[in-house]
Amino acid sequence: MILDDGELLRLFKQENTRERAFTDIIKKYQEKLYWHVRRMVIHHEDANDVLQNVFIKVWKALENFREDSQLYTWLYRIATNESLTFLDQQKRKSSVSFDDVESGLSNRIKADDGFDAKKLEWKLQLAIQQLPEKQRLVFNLRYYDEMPYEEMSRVLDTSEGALKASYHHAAKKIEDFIRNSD
Amino acid sequence: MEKNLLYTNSPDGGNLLDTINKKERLYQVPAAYFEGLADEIMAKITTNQYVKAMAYHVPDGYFAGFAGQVLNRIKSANSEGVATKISAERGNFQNEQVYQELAEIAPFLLSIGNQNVYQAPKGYFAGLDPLVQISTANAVKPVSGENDTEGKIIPLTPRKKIWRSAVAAAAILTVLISGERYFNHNKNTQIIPSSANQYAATIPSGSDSFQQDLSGLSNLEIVNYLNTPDPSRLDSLSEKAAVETQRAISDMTNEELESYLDRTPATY
Repeated sequence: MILDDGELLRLFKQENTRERAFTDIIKKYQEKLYWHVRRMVIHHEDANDVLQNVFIKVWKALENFREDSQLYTWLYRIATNESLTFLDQQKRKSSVSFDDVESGLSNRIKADDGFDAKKLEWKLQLAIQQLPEKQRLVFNLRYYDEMPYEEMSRVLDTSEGALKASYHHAAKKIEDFIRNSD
Repeated sequence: MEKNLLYTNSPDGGNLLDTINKKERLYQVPAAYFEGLADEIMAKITTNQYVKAMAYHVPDGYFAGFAGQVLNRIKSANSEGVATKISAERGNFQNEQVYQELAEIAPFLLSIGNQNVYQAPKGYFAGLDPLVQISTANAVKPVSGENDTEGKIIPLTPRKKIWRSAVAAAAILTVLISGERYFNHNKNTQIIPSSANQYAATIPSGSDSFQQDLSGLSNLEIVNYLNTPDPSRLDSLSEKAAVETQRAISDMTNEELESYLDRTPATY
C-alpha cells in the first residue's frame, strides 16, 4: 500500500520509522524524478548521479520541510535545480559555448542505442534540445509529466501566465522544427 | 482549426494521427523494473496469504518473468509490422487539460505521444535504494566490469579525510618554521643585489684581489672579451638590419625583388 505524503512525512519524523519512510518516499517518486532529470541531462549515468544527489539533499532537508508546500512539488524543485546545476557544471567543464553544449545534448540523443532518426518520437527529442533551458523544463513538465500550471509555478517559481506563454512558444517552436526537419 | 487539420494530414491525404502506433514500445521501460514490480506484488500477495486463498496455482517464478514475456511479444509483433493501429484520438495523455491545450496550440505533437524514448539500465529502479547503497558503499567495492550497470554510489555522510588535512598542516608548519629560522640566521649577512650591475658596483674595484685578477689576464683574452658583442644590444642590431633590408627592398626593381624572393626560403 502506498502511503500518502502526509503519512510518510509523519513516519519520517519518528526515529524508528525514518529509514523505512524515506525508502517509501524514494520508491514513490524515483521514476517520476528520474525521467524528469533524464530528459534534461540525457545520459543515464548523469541522471543517476543527479537523482542520488537529489535524494541525499532531500534526506538532509526533509526534517525541516514545511508542510505548507507539497512534497511532490518540493521534490521536483530540488530535482530541477540539481539538473540545472549539473548542466551548468558541464558547461564550465567543457569551456565551450552554450550552442556547443546544446548540440552536445543532441549528439547524446543521436548516440542513444534506440535512436532512429526517422521516428517522430526521436525527432521530438532533438527538437526539445533546441529550446532554451527554462523553456525545455516547462515543456517537459507540461508535455511529459502533464503537470498543472499551478504546481509548475511552485516548482519553477514563475507565474502561471509566464509558464503558459512559455509552453505555447515551446510547442510551436518544436512543431516548426519537426516540420522543417522533414 | 483549419490550420490544425492541416497539421494532422499526412502527405498521402490520410490522418497523420492514425499513422502512428501509440502502443509501440519505442519508449522502452526498463524490463527489470517490471520484473521487480512483479516480485514486489508477489511478495505482498504472499504476505497477505492470498495464495492460500486462491483455488488455482501458478508455476514458480511465473510472475517474475511475465512482464518480460509480454514485452518481448510486443517487440516481436512490432518488428513484424503486425501491431494493430490504434486510435490516436487521445494519444498517451492522461490529463484532459494538457491534451486540449496541446490540441489547440500544436496538435501535431499530440500525434507523437508523451511516452519515454530513453531507456534505463536493467534493474535500475529495482536497485535504487540509497539507504542500502549508502550502508554498503564503503563495505564492498565491486570488481571493475562486474557491476557495470550499477551507477556511482555517493555516500550520504562522506567520511572526512582527516589524515590528509593533518599531513597538509604539518607540511605548512615545517615550511614556516624552516623559513623563519633561515631568515633569522641570515639577517646580518649582506643582501645580494638583484642585478649584475648592482653586484659589480659592490665589488671594490680598487681592491688588491680585483687588480690581481685583471693582471692575470692576457692581452688576447681582454681583446676577445671586448670584441664579443653585448647581448643586450642584439635587438637594436636586428632592428637596424631590418630597416636596412626594408630600404634595400624599396630600391629594388620588380624583377630583382622576385629573384630575391625566389632565393629566400619562405620559412626559417
